[in-house]
Amino acid sequence: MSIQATLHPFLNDGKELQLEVSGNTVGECLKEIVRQYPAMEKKMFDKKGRIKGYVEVLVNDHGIGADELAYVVKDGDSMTIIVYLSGG
Amino acid sequence: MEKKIVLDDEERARYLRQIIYPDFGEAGQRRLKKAHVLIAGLGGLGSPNATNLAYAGIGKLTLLDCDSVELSNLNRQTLHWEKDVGALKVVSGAAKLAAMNSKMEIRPLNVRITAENAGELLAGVDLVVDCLDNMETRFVLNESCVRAGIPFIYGGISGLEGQLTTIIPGKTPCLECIYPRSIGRGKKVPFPVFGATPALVASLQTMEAIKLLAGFGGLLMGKMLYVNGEAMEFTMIAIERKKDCAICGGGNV
Repeated sequence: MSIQATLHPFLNDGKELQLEVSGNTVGECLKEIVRQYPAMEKKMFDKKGRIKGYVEVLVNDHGIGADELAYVVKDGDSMTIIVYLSGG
Repeated sequence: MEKKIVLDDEERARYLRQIIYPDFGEAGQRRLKKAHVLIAGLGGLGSPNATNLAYAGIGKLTLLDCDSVELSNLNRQTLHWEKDVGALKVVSGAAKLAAMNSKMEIRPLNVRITAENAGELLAGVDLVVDCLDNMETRFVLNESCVRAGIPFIYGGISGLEGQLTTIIPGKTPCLECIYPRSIGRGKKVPFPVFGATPALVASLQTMEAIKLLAGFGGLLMGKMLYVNGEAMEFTMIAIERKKDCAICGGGNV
């Protein structure tokens, strides 16, 4: 599975990062991103290995619900990882 | 003809410590008195923003919120007290703000901003301070402010982290230049927060508001300030207008 992943600029010191990853689920793809860019682990995951509350993964520009790590991706999908603070 | 704004002796005495700031002076204080600011959301960010602006001598505040006070709000939403649990936030907030500054005009509105009512809500407003707690409404507010040409100070928080930027329609990136509109729909869980986080981010928002209204100093234009209270790091991230942004045109209009 070849997935085009885009990391939002706020995850990477203001610069958007694009890379190709492989995996059957969003979780596997994120693991691949962390393998290539270890610094992303702390930015994307909490200490229990869950995606942080203010990190959202879009697949083909759409939200994928709460169970993000198990979401199945297919060859050619695009994945965008975004960090945003929305609380007030 | 536009009404001339003057300060009386009591106001000169009350705001003396601001007036003696070299780049501000009586002219700056008059600009604050003339200003109408809309606080969108009267929770963790809205409480200190409204308080700071009331004490600074803003002429008119519109308070916008459609929720009631809950017990779990009281760790951070400083306008609301134990006796207010169950009351409308705009009613609770307006009462405290009127006691802080009796000369300030207050317009409390128990409504949610929508594309349909935005024009009416924003009429006559000079500046919007974004203190909302969700992205969906924030995108509506962003679009409404861009259409109306009203500056908009975005602030967002979670845990010990926060971020803010000042959006000037036609000059800076708008919220949709930075974020796709599809975010923030899937996650509806309560976000963790300590009261100090919105207090900090709101104070920075108020600082932007005062400079913007009075016309001095530098603003967070084209820059997102990210604050990480856990690591105690402040980071400035450059942000750019998105080419052909559906909302602000991205500089191509």
